[in-house]
Amino acid sequence: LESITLLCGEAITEARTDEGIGAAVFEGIFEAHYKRVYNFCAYRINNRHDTEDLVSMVFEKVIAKYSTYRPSGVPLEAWIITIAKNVVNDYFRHKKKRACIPLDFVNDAAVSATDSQPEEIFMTRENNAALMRALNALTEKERTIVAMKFAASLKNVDIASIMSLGESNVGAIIHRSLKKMRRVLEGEES
Amino acid sequence: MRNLEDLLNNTDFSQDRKKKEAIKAMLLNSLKREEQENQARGGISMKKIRARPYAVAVAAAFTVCVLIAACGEDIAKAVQQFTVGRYAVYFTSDDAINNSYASDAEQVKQLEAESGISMSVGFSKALLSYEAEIESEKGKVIYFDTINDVKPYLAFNPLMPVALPTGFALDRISLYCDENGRPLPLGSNMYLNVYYTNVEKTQQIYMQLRLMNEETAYSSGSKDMRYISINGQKGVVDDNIVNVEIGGVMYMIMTGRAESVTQNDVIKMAESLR
Repeated sequence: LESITLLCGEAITEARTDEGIGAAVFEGIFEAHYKRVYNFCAYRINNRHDTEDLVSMVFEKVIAKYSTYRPSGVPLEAWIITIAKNVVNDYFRHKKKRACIPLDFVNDAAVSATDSQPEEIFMTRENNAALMRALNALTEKERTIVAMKFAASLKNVDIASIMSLGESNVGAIIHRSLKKMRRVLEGEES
Repeated sequence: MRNLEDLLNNTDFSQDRKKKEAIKAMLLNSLKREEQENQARGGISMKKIRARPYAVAVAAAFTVCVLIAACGEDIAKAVQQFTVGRYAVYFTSDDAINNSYASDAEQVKQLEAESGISMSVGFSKALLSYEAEIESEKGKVIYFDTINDVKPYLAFNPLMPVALPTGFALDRISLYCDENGRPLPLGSNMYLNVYYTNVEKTQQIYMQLRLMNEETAYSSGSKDMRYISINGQKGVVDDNIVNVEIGGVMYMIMTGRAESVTQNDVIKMAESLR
């Protein structure tokens, strides 16, 4: 089971999950999906420390629920992002602090890339800040869908399934969201 | 002007490799600890519930109602749910045969499907001999001679039984260790293993103490389980197990490898926790 899963990487199609998850399988899944889960959470909450906690919680739930995952259903990445979406929703429900979340990715994220040059760090900080300001212009639903599309690299069909929307509706929301975000960036330049 | 597509396609907030490795190590440790715990639990396997137990209880109760409605009295008899404290849920089945909980497992899968919450039912497996068990613990646990020696490492204050079944004495006390074979930091251990054996070491009583919280929550299964009151504290009992939560700590006394010990002996042992 573990070797099949690792060989197939993200495209686990035949592996059985009934017996739960072993360390090797989990490590493979973690490596394959950490980036998308982290960025999805970061797009949604923009708080470094809380994002790290949420990422841990997402993968804890992946471990706990892996035996219920059916490869013949949704792709694994969509299943994991569904878990991430619920974890983030719980976070907002319990903390109710979206309005006062600091923009600390702006300051921290670039610094943590230790092999970056000062100029790169500066540019990364600026870009992160611009992206977050643009994301702040979106509604929660738009932000979730943009996060699924760009941070988690999901296909529109999978986003539609997770959000219980039509595929064309997802495309329209993404188009409208990008327009809003572009307007924010244009406003900053003028 | 910044290109939005570039920002969206090239921004990666997850570049802190040290943090990534730390999260991965923490999760792997947790996974390994769970596996070790299952092995060391005297043949009874358990799986943690990561969800909030009261959510499990509500979901499970709801689903049992659905099952009853769908299938009539047979299922109602087959699955019973017991809760002890906030973080432990047990299922029992009338038709479990030879301590095999296969039928429970099927029904728990239905509960999982309905509730979306992951849970698992305990199952018995071949019990190890004393020597094989000691061998299986190598590198996974650290031994202590006395309860006072281990106390500083615990996240709780342990109670120990004053009354033991005739012929049994303390054999060993252990904590799970980290991947380097070292004990977890002082005051942080949420699990304690205590073993009592007869002189010949052919029989053994295993007691696990577990500080109950969301991280240590679990579900388990049994053949014939019922509620019991131990000094006013709610617990459950079956042929081989007494589980009771006292002061937020679950005391799980198991006699899977102690044929001479009766259920009454184990209840007396639990009642003597001081």
